[in-house]
Amino acid sequence: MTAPTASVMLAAAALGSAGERGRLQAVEDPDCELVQRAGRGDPAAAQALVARKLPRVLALAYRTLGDPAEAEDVAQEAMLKVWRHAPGWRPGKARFDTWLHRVALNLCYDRLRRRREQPMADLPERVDPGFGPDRGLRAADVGRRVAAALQALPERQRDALVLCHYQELGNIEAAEVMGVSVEALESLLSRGRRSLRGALADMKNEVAEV
Amino acid sequence: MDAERLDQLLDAYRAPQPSPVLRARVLAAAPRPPTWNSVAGRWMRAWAPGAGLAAAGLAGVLFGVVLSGSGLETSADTLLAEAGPYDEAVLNVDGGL
Repeated sequence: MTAPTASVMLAAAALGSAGERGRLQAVEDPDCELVQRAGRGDPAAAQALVARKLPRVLALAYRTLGDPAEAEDVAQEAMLKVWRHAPGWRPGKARFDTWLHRVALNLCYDRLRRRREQPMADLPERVDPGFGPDRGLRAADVGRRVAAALQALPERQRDALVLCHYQELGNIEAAEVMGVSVEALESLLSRGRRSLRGALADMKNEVAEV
Repeated sequence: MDAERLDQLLDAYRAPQPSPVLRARVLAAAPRPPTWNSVAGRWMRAWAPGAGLAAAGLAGVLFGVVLSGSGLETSADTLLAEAGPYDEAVLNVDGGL
């Protein structure tokens, strides 16, 4: 999360009313102006927003679902929701990035729910797309093992790890996305990391070779 | 295993980059700048119900005016047509009084 600049902090000290606080949040949200410009039909803003957000949404969906095709569908759906909301986007309680993560995570939950209702035979085959031939077998192996260990975690622990480690959200933001308290998020993170340490214990010497 | 090593292991799990096809699909659905046609169309859609109502009201008023005007003329013509020479004489006598 980016730290507020000196001018923002000065503005925070000077402002009081709710409307003024709303304007301040607009200053604090680095995506707000871009979203509003994209909503007005600015193609450069739309391209910039896609370049900035699509990889993040895709990564979140991929690590939550473990399936590249489903992750692409979720990323596309989430970005379509962005386009629908962009023309009327107003700086509100949540930052745009937090809102987008929540939208994407909810779409992932929908998929996971549907997946649980499906028989196991219908599940898509998982493909590991992360490594090219130049990266070597060991890196691919480590990635696969970590992916399997992550997928084996309880859903909420995995989400907490994905949001905090991979998406680089702060604890407050990640807790907001998941709809839990910061303490609950920290507990999920701690349990998730402990489980991963156990699952990947035999790989502690592999790290240097990745 | 310490936290740093676990972080390194986690970093080995890379996510794919968006394909050019996905980027193109997403960008194709992005909002477009408003064109003259879309602005005119939106204006028409916004005003059409009101304009229709006003036109219907105006048509009603015109119809009423035309109908009441032609009705008066008809009743006057009928009176004149029905009045005979005797009636005319009576009217003249009354007028003389």
